[in-house]
Amino acid sequence: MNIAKDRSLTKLAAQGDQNAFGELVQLHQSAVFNVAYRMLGNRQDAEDITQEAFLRAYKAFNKFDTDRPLRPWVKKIVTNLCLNRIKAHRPTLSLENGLPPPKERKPGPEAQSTKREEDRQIRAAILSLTPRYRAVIELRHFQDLSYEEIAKTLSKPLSTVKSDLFRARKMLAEKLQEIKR
Amino acid sequence: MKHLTESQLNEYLDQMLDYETQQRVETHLASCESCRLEITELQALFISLNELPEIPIAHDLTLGVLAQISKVAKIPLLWKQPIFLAQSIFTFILLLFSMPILSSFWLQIEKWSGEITFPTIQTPSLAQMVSQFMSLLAWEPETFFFIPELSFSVPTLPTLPISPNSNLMLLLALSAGIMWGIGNYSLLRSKPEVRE
Ligand SMILES: [Zn+2]
Repeated sequence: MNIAKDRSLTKLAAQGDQNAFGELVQLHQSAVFNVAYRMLGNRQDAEDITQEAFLRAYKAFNKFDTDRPLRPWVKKIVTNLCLNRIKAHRPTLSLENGLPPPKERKPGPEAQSTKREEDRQIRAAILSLTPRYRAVIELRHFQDLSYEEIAKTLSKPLSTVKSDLFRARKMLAEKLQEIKR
Repeated sequence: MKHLTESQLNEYLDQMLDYETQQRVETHLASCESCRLEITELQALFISLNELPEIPIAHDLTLGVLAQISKVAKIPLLWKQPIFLAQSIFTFILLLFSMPILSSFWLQIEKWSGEITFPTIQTPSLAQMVSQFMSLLAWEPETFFFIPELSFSVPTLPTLPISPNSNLMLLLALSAGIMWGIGNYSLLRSKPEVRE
């Protein structure tokens, strides 16, 4: 991605240029959507909330330092929007094609082998975490934020973020062991 | 031998430890099977998460976002527009020049009793005003150019057909206030609360 172009588009959009903002949406929608999809596990919801995140970003441009890249900022916005949505109404944790609980699975060699199936199970494992653990995994492993940045994004103390992250990893690691067994 | 804490293991993998602690963790890992097992488990998780592919978005959201954005009423920054600035300056100058007229009206209004007539008002000429202004700048305009003597007066205004009293004034002020409120409301209504 062209950083200079991204920055000039961001500056134009911050001044109210809607075409520039449209280009930014086109450039970053996929990345933002994927955050929402990991957090919510449902394509339709993820698209809706991605759209909302861009709208929020547009309205909050006066609070954004346009010298910084846009994508990480919108990703943080969408993460928080997802958290709010999960807290407001707990969604059904379905990945489109249904989700057999890992314990019931007796994987035959044919199912076991596909990478696709493994990916689906990792997504399911992330979704099985409660929102607070899901959020720290998302921010640390997929958005590459430091502990401090995560604390700031979630408005939580650093110590809470650390213990949440370590617990979340432990839970996920155990689930992965279960899947692989 | 004391095993590594959960936080040491995690911070080691996140590369958040200082050099010295990092060395100590590595020394321990080299000699402790159980901690090595724990860290391998975490590393496997890191790899799995890292390898999780992004999925393509099914619909382009650009048009949807833009449609919603255009619903957001934009209150333009008027001060940044040259036309608005010029207009403001022009209004200010007009107000300055109409001061004498306004002040004599004000005297009339102060002495208001039922029915009023407005007398002819002699305003200072434009040339007088300009030269006064110039003298403020310690400048002698006459030596540079000739300003024609402009004299204008307000014609005798007709007697108001209604006889204003304090109730009527109150009613007028109230309606003006309501109109002002409605205007502001319709202007600001679609401006949503901005958070984040
Ligand atoms: Zn040990």
